[in-house]
Amino acid sequence: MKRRSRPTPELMSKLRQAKADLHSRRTLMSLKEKVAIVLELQRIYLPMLKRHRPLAPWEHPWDVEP
Amino acid sequence: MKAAPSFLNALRALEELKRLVIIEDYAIAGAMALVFWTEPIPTYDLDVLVFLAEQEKPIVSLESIYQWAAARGYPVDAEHVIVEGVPVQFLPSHNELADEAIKTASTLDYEGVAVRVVRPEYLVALYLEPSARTAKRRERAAALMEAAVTDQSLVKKLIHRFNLEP
Repeated sequence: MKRRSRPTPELMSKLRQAKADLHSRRTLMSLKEKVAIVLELQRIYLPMLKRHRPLAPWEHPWDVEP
Repeated sequence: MKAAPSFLNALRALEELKRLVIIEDYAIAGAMALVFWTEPIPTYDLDVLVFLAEQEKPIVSLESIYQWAAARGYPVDAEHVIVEGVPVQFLPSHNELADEAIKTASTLDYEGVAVRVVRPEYLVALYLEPSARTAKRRERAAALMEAAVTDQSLVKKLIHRFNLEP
């Protein structure tokens, strides 16, 4: 089997830390910013969800302001 | 002119339900509560645990909420009331754990509107209820357990008191 080069533990640690920092920053957002992101996520995820299963009647992007 | 639908106005409507004594108290639960405590995740409805105002009938009915919704022009669809454009599922408190979750909820400020939100420890406990335990809920409970805002010792106590061990 082909021998692949691998990332160093330091690089992996740095990448994981960056992801943890991103989660942490998102946790610290204002509630209004979080709701705005939820609205955006609905628009992104629903078309994908729809390809996997029928959507329930309430499963649609909320046409609202945060 | 009617204000454009907004999440803020949906929260105001919850406060109105309390002011009109249609409900005694409420607390946002489910994924949106998780969003308040941790980070945004996709969700499509707003779960609201409620203590309904005292009713004469022994079996709890959401009729008073549906009447309020009809008077406000909020449609009802598949057990969801579409409040200011937001599908809201009102969940009457179903046991002592849910009672405590409502009673101990935090009052947060959303753009100047007070909003009651189930504390993260109680959200974990609710996610671990056997009747509601799914892979997605276990995942959400795990995410909450990693959150700095969650008091791990309180979660352990709740798991023990309410027999929620796996």
